[in-house]
Amino acid sequence: MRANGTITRRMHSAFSGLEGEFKALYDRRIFETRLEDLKRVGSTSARPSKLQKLYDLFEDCGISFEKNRETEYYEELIKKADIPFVQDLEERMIYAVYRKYEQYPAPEDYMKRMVDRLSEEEDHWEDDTLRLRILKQFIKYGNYLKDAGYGGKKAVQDYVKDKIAAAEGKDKAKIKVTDEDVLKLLDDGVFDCLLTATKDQKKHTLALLKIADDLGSAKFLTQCATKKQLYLFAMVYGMTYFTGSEAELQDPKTDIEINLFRDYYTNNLIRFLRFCSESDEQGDHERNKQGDYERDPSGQGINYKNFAEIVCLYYIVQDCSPQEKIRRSYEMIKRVQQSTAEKKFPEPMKDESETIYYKRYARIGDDEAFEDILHLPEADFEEFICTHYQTEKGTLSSVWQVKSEQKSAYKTYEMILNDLLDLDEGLRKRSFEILRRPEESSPEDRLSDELLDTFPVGLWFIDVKSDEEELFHTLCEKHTDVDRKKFKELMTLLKNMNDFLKERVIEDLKALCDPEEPSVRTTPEKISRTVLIAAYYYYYIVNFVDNHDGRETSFPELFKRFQKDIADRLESAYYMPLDSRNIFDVLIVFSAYAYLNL
Amino acid sequence: MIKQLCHIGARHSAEQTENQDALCFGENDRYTVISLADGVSTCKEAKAGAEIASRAVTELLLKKGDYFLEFDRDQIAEFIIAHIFYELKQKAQADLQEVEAYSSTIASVLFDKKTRRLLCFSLGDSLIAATDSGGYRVMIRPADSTNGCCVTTTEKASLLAQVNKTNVGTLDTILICSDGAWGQMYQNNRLKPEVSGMLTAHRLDELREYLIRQNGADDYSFISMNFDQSV
Repeated sequence: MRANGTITRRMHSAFSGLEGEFKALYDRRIFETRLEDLKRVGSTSARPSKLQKLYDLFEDCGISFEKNRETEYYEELIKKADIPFVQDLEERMIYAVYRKYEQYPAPEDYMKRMVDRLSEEEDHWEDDTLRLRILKQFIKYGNYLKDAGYGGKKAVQDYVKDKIAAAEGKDKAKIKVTDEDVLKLLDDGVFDCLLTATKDQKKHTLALLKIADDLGSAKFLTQCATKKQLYLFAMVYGMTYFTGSEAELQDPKTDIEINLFRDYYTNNLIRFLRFCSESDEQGDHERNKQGDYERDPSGQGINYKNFAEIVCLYYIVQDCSPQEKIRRSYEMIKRVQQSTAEKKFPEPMKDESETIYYKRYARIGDDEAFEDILHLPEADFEEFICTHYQTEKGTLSSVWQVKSEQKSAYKTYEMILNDLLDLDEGLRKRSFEILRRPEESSPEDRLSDELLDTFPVGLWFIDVKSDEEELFHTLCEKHTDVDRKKFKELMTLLKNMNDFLKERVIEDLKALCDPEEPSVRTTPEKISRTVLIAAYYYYYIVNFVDNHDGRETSFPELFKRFQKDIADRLESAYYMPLDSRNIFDVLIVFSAYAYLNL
Repeated sequence: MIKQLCHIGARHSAEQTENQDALCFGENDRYTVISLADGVSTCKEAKAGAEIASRAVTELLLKKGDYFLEFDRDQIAEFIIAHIFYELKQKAQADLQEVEAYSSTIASVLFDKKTRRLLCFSLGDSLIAATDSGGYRVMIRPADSTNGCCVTTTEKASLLAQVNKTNVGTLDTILICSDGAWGQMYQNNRLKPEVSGMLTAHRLDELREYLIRQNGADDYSFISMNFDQSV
């Protein structure tokens, strides 16, 4: 087997996420509490289980010990061992987060890795810029995306003609170029025109360049535009869709759901958290002000209710060339819309079915009532779409927005907020009283006092460690490898994450506490995986404080419990599960851990 | 009847290194066991590790088949992994090597001839599939190895091992394929039509020839068992 990344005992444990880094992060108090427990039970039958808890701590921290010794032996061992005090632990935690963040790939790096993996070796484009490689892929395998309605072929060919004219002193009007010439002579300069192009040009005559540029920098566009781009990307790179058939294998390296709807989201989320409050080198912030990019990537996977997405999946599954996949899917989308306009088929029932209902058509399960539509003949599939899916675009600007609201996710979110308020009978009332205080006091003042007693306002790192400069110096004293720029970047990310938690969830809680008109501001269109996890974060802390003593929990234990408890909610919302490779997920759980333990 | 292929891949051939896949077959009055291990290329003793793992699990299942068919998923995974790791450690200590040098994947099938029950076990990216009256089905899917997959020396590997216990029912043949083999058999998530024909018609000699013709970069191996002819 190929050795790349294979996890051997030395390299990683089976759980190679951040939780591994925090495995040994216990402070002295936890040891002392467990020792006290051991002393308390004496030699009763409870002793072995208390001993085991102590053994687990020693093992996690790499402290050598002997089993079944007298209590004094363990007391002495704890006294002598190098176990940190709380203050040291806080620094160690921030340092562990910093180390992990340092290694975290930028979204464009992630995209590059995927392009490297999916590219044909024979093309030899690996020395080109990422956006140029994607552009060439669209040209060679997708016929300039002409069938998907993208303009830009002329701009690309003109650029190459200009290049030839300049190099050979020929008259541009007389130069004819083949696709082969284009692929050979094209360079990154072709994108220069985007800098001065108008919005209209980017939408029409330069659309091909724009899509390559957007995908090359892995950005999420608003109004489901990214969805359209991702399907085209998947088709030209020969990506696959797993239908669930028992004879099929899901290839994780090419699977569209894993690579484009999970990891792509994760990486864009970090981008969002990094730049949502300050400008970066590429001017993302400025462009975002114009509303080009999604603020908070929703984390919605494949929208099984959207007919255009299902049509694309149908052709991704079929055995034909990328160009055919693009041409035939866009032709079918057009025909379906035409059939709708001409009322060729009876209107599908105005159903409010949730995504699960539609998903069963595209991911074969045990339910035989659902047809395996992705393996139907083309004409039958088209008729099925016309008769079962909402295909009417109405006032929406694109077919990709049809049925794009996330009702299931929204419902789950509301339930979490209500569960949170139900945890403490008085919380709803008290919260409202605190939150309705006069506007002159800052939101933190209004929220802090009483509400903080019940649950934290934001992220532990920011609540507790607000002095960035002091923290940086403390870390530098102990570690020589802390880079100021990178550290600052991490602190910005943490601050933005903190603001995000306060802005979205607390604001919604506030609205929900209003006895006159209880309703949340987040809508089914605005809900995101991030918001849902954030709401659950508050719920988890309050619930945990109410029911347990969190001090005895290690980070890996808490991560697994959090992961298990939130799994059903994420699943019912059609979001990907909590993942220890996702830095947002880990930081959220870690913050919960810190609040409960420090 | 057992059929098998264990072939060096083009890359190892060009590098003049050895084939690091290992197959093992064992039988007694009650049980038949087939196993396949795929050594990790960068590990110094990958071939030896693969041989030890495939032999250890085959012997264990033959000897304690009755227990394993009653155990739950966690027990099966924990016992098998612990047993392999113990064997690897013994070897590593004797040879003064690190145990990680012997890393491999491991996949195994235990068939109880009396009750016609079946136990499939896999750690890593091998495929276990079966054919039945003209059809084909996957019994255990390969683990995702995009970012590395678990092998016999991974900590807590048993948590990521896969187990499938079932009755033979209408199944007639079961096979274990290394990633180098199934990688050549599949395209766009599905079996290539020519390979599908060979499997459903039990033409495994043809599959052997086909894989050799493809001559993939990675070592390619499979081992199969026909239930009606396994006694």
